[in-house]
Amino acid sequence: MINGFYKILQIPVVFSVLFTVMGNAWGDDNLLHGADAGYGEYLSGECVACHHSEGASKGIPSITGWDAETFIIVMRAYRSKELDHNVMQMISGRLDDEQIASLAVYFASLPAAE
Amino acid sequence: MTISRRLFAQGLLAGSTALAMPSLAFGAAPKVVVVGGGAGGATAARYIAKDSKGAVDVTLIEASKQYYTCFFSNLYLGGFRSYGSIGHNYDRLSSNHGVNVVHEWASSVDGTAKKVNFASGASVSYDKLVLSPGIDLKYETVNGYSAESQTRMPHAWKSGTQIQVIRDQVLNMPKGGTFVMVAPPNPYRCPPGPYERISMIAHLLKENNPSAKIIILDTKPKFSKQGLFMDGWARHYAGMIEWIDPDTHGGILNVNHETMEIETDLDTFKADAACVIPGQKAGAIAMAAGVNDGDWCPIDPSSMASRADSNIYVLGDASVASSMPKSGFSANSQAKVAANHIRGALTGSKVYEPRFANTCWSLIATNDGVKVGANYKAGSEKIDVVDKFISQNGETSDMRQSTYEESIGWYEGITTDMFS
Repeated sequence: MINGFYKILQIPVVFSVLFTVMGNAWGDDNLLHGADAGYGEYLSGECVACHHSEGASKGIPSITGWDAETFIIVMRAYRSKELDHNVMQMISGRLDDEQIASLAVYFASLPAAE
Repeated sequence: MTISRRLFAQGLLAGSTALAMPSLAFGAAPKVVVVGGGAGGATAARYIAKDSKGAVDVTLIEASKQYYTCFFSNLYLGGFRSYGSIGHNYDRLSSNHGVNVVHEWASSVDGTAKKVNFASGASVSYDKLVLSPGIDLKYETVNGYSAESQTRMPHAWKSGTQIQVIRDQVLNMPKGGTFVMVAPPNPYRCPPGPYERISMIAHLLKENNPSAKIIILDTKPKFSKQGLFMDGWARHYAGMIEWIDPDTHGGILNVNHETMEIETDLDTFKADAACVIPGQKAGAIAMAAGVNDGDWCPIDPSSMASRADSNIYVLGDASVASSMPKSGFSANSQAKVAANHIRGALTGSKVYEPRFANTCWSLIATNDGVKVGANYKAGSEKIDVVDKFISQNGETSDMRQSTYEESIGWYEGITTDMFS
């Protein structure tokens, strides 16, 4: 069981999740299919109530400047409950693939945390 | 009168015949006026100005130059934050997004003329108006309580310095003294707030005055996160806190700030320090605008537009948001839905589906944080829950610490989302 954002973001965990989820993702589609950065900006309102929009990271990790495909894989892993966090499972639970892709391209366009 | 030069220069002041005419007829930028610079109003002003990139003229009316958040004021009380750390100003809303910030008291609204009048006598016209006034207190819901009682029995339920009074009074209680809270009836701002406040008072007393007692005289039979608070109080503050429900105390008959006595059917409680939180209603400007139905303001869940006037949007505590609690997080979420709708109406920008969310964190003791949250959608009649969660008793101390640290991150995130 993984508790807390920081533990989730430990490198070995991320790689194992990437491997698992990409195994599922490969062959079925282009992860970025349907991505719309403008829609992502609207949807991001739900994210930046907690995740600092300027990329600062304190208690809640920065999500700006992420690689879009990594963002998608992590969000899908929360949605399928392969990653454990009550807020993130709830938020991702009502995002479809296109909405996640839209968020991914929007956040990828923002400067990463320093 | 302290209308800013910028506001004056842009011709927002009423009084000129030409300027009183609809701005859209001249091809000028449409005008949005936002009343109230808290989680709902500041967010709405920022998002409309930021996302319209100058296509909408946004004026924010807020009486205070320095705004202290209600959320995290309990952490100040408990000694986990400085008072200064919960203070914010509006400078970046002006410099980053061109919001006209006017520090005036909005006293009335003329919905027909689409004009907001200030206590100073000036006024400002709008195409769309956002009201996010928060709450006013219904002192009359507690016999004997009045504005005069506030210095000795503060409610500290509106942003401001009363929370400092409570902290001083708790720290100056006699050894083994008694703190009494009268907890408010539903619906009220920040459902877990009174009980987080009790936790923070217990934390202070445990450090400074461990034989002191805390009594909560509640006006309702159950409360938010009750199981989590009760469990936390038993673990951290055993024997210190007594919660008395209305069936047991039989009703609050009278409070007397001079004798510091709170009389109930069961007994008369003598307090060394006290906090009385009365019933609540939408802030005065919402009442003056006539968009209320009783104490609160019904809204269209797809846009947060008032049911009474489609050019007026009501956000946050003042609105009837059904299952959404009256919280800063809810107000911030509702503001984005309204901002998107208002921009669409005024500039033709795309209007996306409304989405709402809320999470409320509470601190029970050092590194022992809990949370409750939900996300929501616009139903045909009201805002409906999609999914929800709550912290569980028996969570590891690592999980509880992580939840507390998350709340600190959230505070940084949401205040950036409101004021940057």
